[in-house]
Amino acid sequence: MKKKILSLLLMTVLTATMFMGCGTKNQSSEQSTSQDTTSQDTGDEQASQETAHIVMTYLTAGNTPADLLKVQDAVNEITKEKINVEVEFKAISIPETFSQYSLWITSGEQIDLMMNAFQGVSNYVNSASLEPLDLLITENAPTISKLMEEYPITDGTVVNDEIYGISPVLYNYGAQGSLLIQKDVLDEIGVTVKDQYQLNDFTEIFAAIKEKHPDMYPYGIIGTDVSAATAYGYFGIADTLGATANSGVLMGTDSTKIVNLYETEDYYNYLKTVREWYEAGYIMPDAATTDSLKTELLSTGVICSFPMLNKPEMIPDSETQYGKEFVALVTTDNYYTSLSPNSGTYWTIPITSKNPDAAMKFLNLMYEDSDLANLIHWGIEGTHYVKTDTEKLITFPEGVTADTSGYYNTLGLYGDRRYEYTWSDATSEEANETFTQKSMSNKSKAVGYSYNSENMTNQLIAINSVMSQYLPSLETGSVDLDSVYPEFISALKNAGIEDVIADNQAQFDLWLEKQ
Amino acid sequence: MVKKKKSFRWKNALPVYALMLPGILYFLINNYLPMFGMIIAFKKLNFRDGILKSPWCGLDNFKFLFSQGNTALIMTRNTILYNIVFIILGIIIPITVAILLNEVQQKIASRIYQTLILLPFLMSWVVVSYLAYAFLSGETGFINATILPFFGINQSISFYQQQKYWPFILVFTNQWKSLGFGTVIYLASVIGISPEFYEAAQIDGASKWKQITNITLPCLKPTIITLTILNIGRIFYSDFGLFYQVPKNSGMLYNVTQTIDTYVYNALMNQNNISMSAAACVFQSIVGAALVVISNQIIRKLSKENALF
Repeated sequence: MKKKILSLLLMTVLTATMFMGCGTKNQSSEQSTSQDTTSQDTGDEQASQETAHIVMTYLTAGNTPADLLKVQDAVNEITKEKINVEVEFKAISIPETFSQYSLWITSGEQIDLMMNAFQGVSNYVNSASLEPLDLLITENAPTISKLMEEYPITDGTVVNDEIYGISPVLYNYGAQGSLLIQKDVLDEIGVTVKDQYQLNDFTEIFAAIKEKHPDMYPYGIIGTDVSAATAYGYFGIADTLGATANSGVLMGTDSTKIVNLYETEDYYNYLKTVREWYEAGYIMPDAATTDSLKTELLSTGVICSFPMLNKPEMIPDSETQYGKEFVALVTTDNYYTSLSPNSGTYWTIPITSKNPDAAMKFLNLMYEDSDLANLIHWGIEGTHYVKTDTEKLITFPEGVTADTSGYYNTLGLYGDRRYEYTWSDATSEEANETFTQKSMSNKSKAVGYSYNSENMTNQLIAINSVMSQYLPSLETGSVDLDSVYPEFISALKNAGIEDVIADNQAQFDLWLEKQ
Repeated sequence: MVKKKKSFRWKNALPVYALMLPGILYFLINNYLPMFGMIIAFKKLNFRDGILKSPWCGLDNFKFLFSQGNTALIMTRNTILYNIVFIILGIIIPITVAILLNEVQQKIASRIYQTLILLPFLMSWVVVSYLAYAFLSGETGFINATILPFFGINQSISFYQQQKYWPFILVFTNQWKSLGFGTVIYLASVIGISPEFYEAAQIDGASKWKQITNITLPCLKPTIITLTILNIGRIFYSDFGLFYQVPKNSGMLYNVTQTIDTYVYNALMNQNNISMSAAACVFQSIVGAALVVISNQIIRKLSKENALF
C-alpha cells in the first residue's frame, strides 16, 4: 500500500513536471514569436525616433584587442549621426565561431550581424538559422546592391534563389597554385625562378636543398592541412563547386562534367610524386600526425616551403606572418573558380536579430564609407596607426609595435577592401587589377554555382570521415600507395560518393540550363 | 488487519520522506527534465520553429551511424571489445594491487605506493597523449631514438602508421591511467573486512593464499558486481580522450582505434547538426540501459542477493 501511494505520488509529480516543462516551453516560444512580430511591425516607426542597437560579431585570431571599446565608441559616433544606429562588438575568435554560433542562435541571443568565416552558410540555412537578405538589401542597402552587380560578393551564399550572406569586396579576384619557398634557401642552391613549375621540377629543387641541409625537410606539408580537403588544388586546377572535393569536382576550367577528384589520373600521379618525396626524405616522417604549426616548423628550420594559393598580397602577408622572406614558385595559370569569388567570409543576419533593417543599414555604410571600414579594421588614426606619404599606406605610430598596439587585427572582413589602408606597398592597385583580369580570362564554367547538399547529408558525413581517415597519410606520402590507395577509393564508393556526384551533376545541369 | 498501525507508520515516516524531497527535485530537474531533449533525435531541427514545432523525421538522424559500409561494424566492435578487456583487467589488476598494498606493513611505504599509483589518474588525457608521443614519436621518440638503437636496431618503427601495436598500447595506457582509482576503491573494501576472519583463519592454519581466495575475494564480491554492472552500462561509450588524443587521431589507425564516440566527433565536428548528435547519444543510452537490465537479470539468476535491483 505504502509503496503504491509513493509510486502514485511520484508518477503525478513526474507527469506534472513534464506538462509544466512543455507548458512553459510553449509559452515562451509563443511569447518570443509574438515579440518578433510586434518588433517587426513597430520597427520602422521606432527606427526614426530611437537609436537602434545592434550586436555584431567581431572576429579575432585569438586575442581580443585591448582598445576594442574605444574603437566601438568611435564607430558609434559615425553611425549614430549617419544612420541612427548604435553597434556593439561581440568579440570571438575564429575557431570558436564554429561551435559558438549555433549555440547563440539556439539560445536566442541577440546577434544582428554575424560573420561566417570559413564555414559557409548552408548548414545554417538548412536549420533555418539565417534571414534571407534579398528584401533587406533592396530596401536598405543601395551601395551593396550596386557592388553586387559588379563583384561576386554573394556567390556561394545563394540557397533556393535567396541570398543569405555578403562577403567583403576583395583587393583582387582569382587565384593561382604555388609553392611558397624561403628565399634564402632557394638562393643557396642557386635556382633561377621559372614562370611555371611542374611537380617533377620540385623533385630536383628538393633534392638540392636536402643535399645542403640534410636535417631539413624541404616540402612542408602537414596532415592537419589536408584532413578535410586536399593539397592537390595547389598544383592543379579543380573547381570544387562551392563545396569541398567531397561532392566531386570539375577538372580544369572548361569541363562541365563532375568527377571524383580522387579517382582521376592527375590526382594519382600527384600522390605518387608525394610518396616519392616522402621516401626520399623531403617530407617530415611525422607529417601526417604532427601537432606542430607551420610557424614553428619554419622558424626552427624543419621545413622551408609549403603550398599556398598565390595572390599579389600573399607574399607580403606570409612574410609578416612567418617572419621569413619567400618566393612563390607558380604551378598553374591564373584561374577563377566557383570558390575563388570571395574569401569564404560572409556577413549574415541570424534569425535572432532584433533589428535586421538597422543591421543591413550598418552593413551598407561599411561598404559605402571607407573611413568606417578603416576604423573597424585598423583602429583610430594617430593612436593605432599613422598615415605615411604614400597614399593608403599606413604604419604604426612611434613606439608602437604589433605586440604593443591596443588594436591590431589583420582579419580583413569589413566592406570594400579596395579602399582600405594597407601596411605594405607591395600590392599596388595595378598589380591587383592585372591579376584579376588574368584570372577572369580563365574562368570556370561553374562560377556562381554552389552545390546544395541537403539530401545527401548522410553520404557526405560518411565521405568526410573517409577523407579525414585517409587524406592526411596519403597526401603526406606517409603510407604505401599500392595498398592504401585502392582501399581509399573503395571506401569513398562505399560511403556513396557516386550518388553525391550524380546529385551534384543533376543540380549543376539544371543550373547551366538556366544561365 | 493492521491498517491503523500502517497509517501511523506512514505519518511517522513523512518527515523522513520530506528529507528526500530536495534529492528527488534535484534528480527531476537535473536528470529527468533534460530527457525531454531526446525528441530532438527524431526531428529535423529547425531553429526558427523551435524544438517542439520542428518537423518529425523518424529515424533519419540515426542513419549516418550505419551508412558507411562496415564502419559501423568496426566501431561497434572496437567499442565493445576494448570495453570488455577494460572491464576484465579493471577487476583483476586493481584487486591484485589492492591486496598487495594491504599486505605492505610499513604505513609510510604503503601511502607512498598508493599516491604514486593514483598520480596518473589525476592527469588529463591530453597530457597522457603527449607522454605517449614522447615514447612513440617516429623521429625523436624515446623508443625509436634511444631504446631501439641501444639494442642495435636502427630501423625506426612508425607507431602512428601501423595498426598492430595499438590494441596493446591503448590497453596499457588505459590501465596505467585508471589503475589508481580502481585500487583505491578495492583497497577501501579490503581494509573494511573484519580482521577477525583472518585471525580465525590463521588459527586454523590457512596460508596467505588460502586467506585471499577464501576470505578476501568472497568479501569483495558485492563491490565487484556493482562496479561491473555500472561498467557494462557504459559499454557503448568509450573514453574519448583515450581513443582520440592518444592515437593522435591518425587515420591509418582507425580500424583499431575508432569507437562510436570518436566517429561521432569526427563526423559531426563541422556539421553543427544537433539532431544527429542527439541521435548518437540516444542510441548509446538506450543500448547501455538495455545492457544494464540484461546483465542485472543474469546476475539475479546466478546469485540473487547480489543483484542491483
